[in-house]
Parts: sequence; C-alpha cells; structure tokens
Amino acid sequence: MTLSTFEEVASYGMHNAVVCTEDVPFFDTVKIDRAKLEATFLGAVQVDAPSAHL
Amino acid sequence: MSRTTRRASPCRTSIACAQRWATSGSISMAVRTERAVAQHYLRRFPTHTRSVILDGVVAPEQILGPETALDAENALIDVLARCASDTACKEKFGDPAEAYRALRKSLDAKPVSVTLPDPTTGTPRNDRVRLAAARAGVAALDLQLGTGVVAAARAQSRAVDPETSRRSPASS
Repeated sequence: MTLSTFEEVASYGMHNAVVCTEDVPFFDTVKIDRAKLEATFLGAVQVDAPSAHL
Repeated sequence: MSRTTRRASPCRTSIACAQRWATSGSISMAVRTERAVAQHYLRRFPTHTRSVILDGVVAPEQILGPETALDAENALIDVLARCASDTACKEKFGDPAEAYRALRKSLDAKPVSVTLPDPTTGTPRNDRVRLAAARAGVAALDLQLGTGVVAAARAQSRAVDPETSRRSPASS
C-alpha cells in the first residue's frame, strides 16, 4: 500500500534511475556503519536494495 | 523536490536542463541530476541567471543513501527529546523516546496491521500494511513512515495498557 501510494505522488523510477547511477556506484567510497543502520527504524534497506541491482 | 521562481516541466536530460538554463534561466528541477547541473551552471556562469530557488539542495560530492536512515533516526530522536524537555508535552506524552523504543520492540516481536489514509486525499484506504514488513519498502518515505508510526502507535495504545505496559487481554 505504501509503495503504491508513493508511486502516485512521485516517480519511483526517476528516483531510482538517478540514485542508482549517481550514488550507488560510490557507496564503496564511503564508510557505511551497518550496525548503526540496523539500529534505525529504516535499517540498511536504502543501501542494500539499490545495491542489489548492480 | 526543487523548484525555481517560475514553473516549467522537468527536463529529460542534464544537457536539456543546461540548455534551458542557458536560454531561459528557469527550469523545474525534480531530481538530483538537475540540481547538480544547476549548481555547476551557477558556478560557471554567475551573471547569466537573475534568481534561483533550489529547495533541498544536495552538494554534488555528497553520496546519498548511506546516511539517510541515520539522519532520519536522529531527527526523530531529536523531536522526541524536545517533547521530553517540554513540561506540557512531557505531562501529556511522558517519555516519547521510551514509548518509541517500546513500540519498535513490540512491532519486531509482533507486527500489527493498520489502515492508513491516502496521502493525497486523506480518505482511509482499505489497504492494510504490517509495519515490520513495511520497513523494507518505505525507505525513502519519511512522510508515510511517520504516518505509519503514528498509526501503529495508536493501534498499540489500544492494545497495551499505558500504565503497566502489559498487553491487555483484548489485544491478544
């Protein structure tokens, strides 16, 4: 439901097209503290999900 | 989302954006690419543009993603701490940070389903979402995530005795 409503107010494809091309390739250039991420409500999904498509 | 002083349709490519900047000085920027192009254009041609509003600017060298969850969590904790430090708010809600931690622990142990209002119309939707499962799908949705947390808190407040934090018989 959440994802379907988000698609109505923003372009998920556009977001992913930009982030996956301009940010994800540089994830390995920054220090990512997975333990800290896992302790947040959002978790590490914003790092893991787009990276899974590489 | 970003906007300029005059609305225009988003450009399809960075080159198109740069060309539109060069000719009209006004574009409607929707994504990071165009914001970066705008910043580079302004840097290289500072006298070619009369005025610009960049909303939610991200520096071109900043890598988006790894810090988002941490920043969102810190912002939430700050809001909760601000409430705890306010007499009226604390009197009304107690320690909201503790309630938040208890809510997360409870949802991890036993997710609940909630009905959320449509984000564009406000009318209730029949869709139901389980918060723990939604965690994997709402990474970028601060607004809806906040709505979900509030809805979950309300659901939990009906299921958990706030005085003792014990689950009431009707909730199980």
